[in-house]
Amino acid sequence: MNLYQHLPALQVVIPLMAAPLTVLLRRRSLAFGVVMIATWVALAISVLLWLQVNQSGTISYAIGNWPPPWGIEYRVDRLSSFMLVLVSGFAAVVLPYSRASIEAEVPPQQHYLFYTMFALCLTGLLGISITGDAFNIFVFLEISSLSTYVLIALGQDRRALVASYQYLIMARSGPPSSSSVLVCCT
Amino acid sequence: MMGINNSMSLGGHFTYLVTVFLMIAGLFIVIARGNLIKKLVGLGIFQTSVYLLYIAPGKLVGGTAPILNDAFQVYSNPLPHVLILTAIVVGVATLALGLALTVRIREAYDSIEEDEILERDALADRA
Amino acid sequence: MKNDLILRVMAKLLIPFILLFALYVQFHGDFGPGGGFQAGVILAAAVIFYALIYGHADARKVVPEPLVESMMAIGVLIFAGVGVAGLIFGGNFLDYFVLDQNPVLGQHRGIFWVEVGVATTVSGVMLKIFYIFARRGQVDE
Repeated sequence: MNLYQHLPALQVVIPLMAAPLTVLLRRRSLAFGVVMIATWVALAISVLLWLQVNQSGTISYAIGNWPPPWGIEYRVDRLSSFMLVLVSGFAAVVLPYSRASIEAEVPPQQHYLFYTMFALCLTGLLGISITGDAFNIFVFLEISSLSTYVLIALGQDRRALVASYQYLIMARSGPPSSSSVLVCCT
Repeated sequence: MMGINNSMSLGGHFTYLVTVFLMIAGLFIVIARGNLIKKLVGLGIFQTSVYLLYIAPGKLVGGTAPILNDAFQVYSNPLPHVLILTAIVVGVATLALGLALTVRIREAYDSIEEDEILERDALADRA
Repeated sequence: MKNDLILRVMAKLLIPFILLFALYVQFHGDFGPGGGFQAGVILAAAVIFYALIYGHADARKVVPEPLVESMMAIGVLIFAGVGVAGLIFGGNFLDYFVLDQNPVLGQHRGIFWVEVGVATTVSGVMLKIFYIFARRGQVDE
């Protein structure tokens, strides 16, 4: 199994598998360690993908070995590889420093939930950049939206709850209506 | 020869009329009602209209369920169903999240009316 | 509702059939209406029915909370595991063709395990939502 040719899939899968692992391992330090490793590995994979795209052009990866019109295709070109490096770079830099602020603001029994939502949000954002299928973009958009609602609601102030609720209503009225406008235009 | 195009009649567009009505009704409820739970109900109606918009064109006239059988030639399109099933599940998750947030807001503010919540925030800001 | 005789007897009669129907819907996903989501919800509905009639304490003894939370995570891991199995056997991610000598049987196997993962996660999520909402209203639980 040549890992190098499966990098586009692993880019999304590794944070995605870190999230349920974090739910199973409920201890705070273990949860932090798992998500930290997953985020840094995601950064390494995105840098490798960027180097690969600079060398040999656009990478096309068919999920499930179904060719593109029937199956989902992950397409990495120069713009998406740059976005992947950006997103995973920010996540890898932010996560170590988030530990102190989470310990100050969130009750201890919910720490592992924060790290789970962080990993899921990273998965969603990486997936939006890397996928070449329109409906897959919608799915990853929903994954990142749902995890962001939870991340916002974990704030200390009670206004965080109201803010999260307003974001939910706004963001949920957006995508279906815009995509239906798209459908009506075609 | 220019035949009569029967899809131009109002009856041919029935699904789309229902879709537009549900969409506007849902959006109106979200905007015009201050109760947090009523907003979620309006959101649900709005999302239902979007599902209808995608699923209705998938049913072909005379088409049967998309399970291969030698007796049938025309099948309905299964692809919109698959996509909208995902969207429905996402909608259910969002509804659960919205209701959980409403329960927490009720515990924090003792009210689920939007104007009362904003009032209590303004009071807390001034204090 | 624990003291109402008719409800108790009907619950005891119906719950095994509801669980069996959930399994039926799970396995008949590729031949008729059904599949993972629907089966997971019916499974959760059976446990919620039990909780409504016999009380939350009894339901938590039958399906404890750590189990429910683990079910959510394990379902996702099963799904991702099927994808990684495709990688290990030499194909792409989520490749079902390589899971068996015969590609068609490989598709069957992949879809089967993926639906098991989905049903586990969905029933875990529904039960967890019910437990959380039910716990909030109670003062002396």
